[in-house]
Amino acid sequence: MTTIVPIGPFHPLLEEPELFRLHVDGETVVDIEVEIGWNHRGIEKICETKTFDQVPFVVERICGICSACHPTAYVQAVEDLADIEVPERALYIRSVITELERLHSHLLWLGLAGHFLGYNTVFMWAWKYREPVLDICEELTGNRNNYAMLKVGGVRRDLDESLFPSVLERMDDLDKHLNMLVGAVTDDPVLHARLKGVGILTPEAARAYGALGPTVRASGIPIDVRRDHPYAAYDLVDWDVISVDSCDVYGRAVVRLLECLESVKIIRRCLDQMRPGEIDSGVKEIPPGEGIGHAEAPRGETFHYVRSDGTNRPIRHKARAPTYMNLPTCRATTVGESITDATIILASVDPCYSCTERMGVYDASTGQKALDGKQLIKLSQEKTRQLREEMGE
Amino acid sequence: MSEKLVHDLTARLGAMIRELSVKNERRVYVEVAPDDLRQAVRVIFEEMGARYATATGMQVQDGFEVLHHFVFDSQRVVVSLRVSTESEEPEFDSITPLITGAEFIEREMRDLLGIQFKGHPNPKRLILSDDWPDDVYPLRRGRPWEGKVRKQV
Repeated sequence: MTTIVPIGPFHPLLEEPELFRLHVDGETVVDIEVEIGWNHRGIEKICETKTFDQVPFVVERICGICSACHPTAYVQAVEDLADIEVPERALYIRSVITELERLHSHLLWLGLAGHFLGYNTVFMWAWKYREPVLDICEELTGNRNNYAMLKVGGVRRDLDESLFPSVLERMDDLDKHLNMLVGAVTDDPVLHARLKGVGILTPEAARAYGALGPTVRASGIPIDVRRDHPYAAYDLVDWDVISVDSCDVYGRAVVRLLECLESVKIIRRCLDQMRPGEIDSGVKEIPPGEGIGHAEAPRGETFHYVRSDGTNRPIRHKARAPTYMNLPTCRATTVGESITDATIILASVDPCYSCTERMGVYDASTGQKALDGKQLIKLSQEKTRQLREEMGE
Repeated sequence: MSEKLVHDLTARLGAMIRELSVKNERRVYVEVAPDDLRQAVRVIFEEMGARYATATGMQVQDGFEVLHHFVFDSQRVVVSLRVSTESEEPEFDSITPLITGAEFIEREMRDLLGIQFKGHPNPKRLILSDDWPDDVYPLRRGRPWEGKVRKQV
C-alpha cells in the first residue's frame, strides 16, 4: 500500500514555501509531487509600478538570504539594456558583498544539514562561525541582510577602508574554522556511509532539469556564472570553480564547503586590490530596449530580464531564482530512496528548506497523522546513530 | 565572442529565422515563427548543447510574446528565442516534451498571462490558488482582477 507523505507547504523561514507529496511504499519513496505558489507575492507585477532606481529594493526582498544576488542580476540586466559602464571600485564592492552572502548562506545550510543528520555539533559550529560574517555585513553595509548596496550603474555607498584590517583578520579566523569543518566532514566515516551514493543526480538529469549552482557542480558539470559570464570583479581576481563528480548528497556538501574557502579567497583579494575611485556612473535615464542579467547566487544562477519602453519604469521584469530549476530535480533524486534519506536529499539542493516541523506523514487510508516533522528528523538522526554504532564509533 | 555562435545559429536555423539581432557580444535575440518553435528549440538545446535558463512571457502592445532564454556557458552568450502572436487567446507549442526543466515556467505563464501551451504533459495550475477565477490573468496589463469574485472550490 502506498502512503502519501505531505511535506510543507508553509516554511516561515523560506523564500519559497513548497509542498512535496511523497508517495511511500513501506520505507521506499516511489513517487514525488512538488507544488509551489504558496507564497506568490506578485513581485514581477510590483516591479512594473516602481522606477528603475526603486526596483533593487523590491528584488532584494525576493529572498531573505540572496539579498545581494537578485539586485545584482537586476542591475546587470538594466546595464545590459542601456550599455552602462560600471566603475571598477563598484565592481569590487559588488563582489565583496555577494561573496559575504555566499559564505553566510552556505554556513547556514551546513548547520541545517548537520542538524538533519543528528550532527548537532556541526550545526552549532557552522552557525557560530556564520555570526562574524553577518557582523562584517553589518559593519560594511549597515545591515546584516537586505544590504541596499546595489544601484544601476554602481553601488549606493562606499566601503570604509579603515574596517578592512579587522575584516581580513576575521577572514583568517574563518579560514581556519572552515578548514577544520572540511576536515571534520571529509574524514568522518559515518558521514561517508550516510551521504555517499544517496540522492543521485546524473549529469543527464541535471541538464534536462536545468539544475544550477552547487547542485549541478556536484554532478560533474562545472558551470558557474561568475567564471563563465564574468561580472562584478570575478575576472579581476584569481579563484577556482569547485566541482566534483560524485553526483550525490555528499558531493553537494563538499562543493558548498570548498566554495566557502574560495569565497574567503575572493574577499581577501578584492579588499587587497581595491583602489579608491568613483563608485557610481550617474545614470540619468534608461532608453527603450531589453536586457538580461544573471548572477551566481549561493544556490545557482539568478536570472533577470528587463524591458523598457523609455519611461522611468520597466514595462516587464522577469526574475527567476535558482531553486525554481533545482527543486524539480527531487523527482530524479528521491524516487527509489528510503524515507529516512528524503529529508537530507530534499535539503541537499538547499531550497531554504528548514522549517521541517511542517512535515507530517499521513496514512492514506485513514487520513490520520502517522508521523510528524519532528519524528521524520528523528528517523534521519536515528539512522546516523545506528550507522555509528555498527561502525563501532 | 558571439560571432562564431551567430554564424552557427544562422547556418543551423536557416530559413526558420524571422529576425536575428545581436544586442552586444554577450546577447543574441532570434525570432522564429510559432510553428518552428519546437524545431528551433531542438536545434539550440539538443544539437548546439545550450542550457535552458527560463522563459519570459509578456503582453505587448499587439498581442503576446514568449522569450525562451538559452545560455551558452562555454561561449559567454545568452540566446533568447522569441515567438509572438497577435491573437487574443495566445497559444504556443510546449517545449516541455523536449526540456523537462521548462515544465514549471510554462505552467507559470499559463497561470499569470493566460498563454496556453499545446502538448504540455502536466497543464495544472502552478502559482495561482485553486479559488482564483479562471479568466483573470494577473500579469496582463492593467488590473485585470478588479471586480472579479473568487471561484467556489
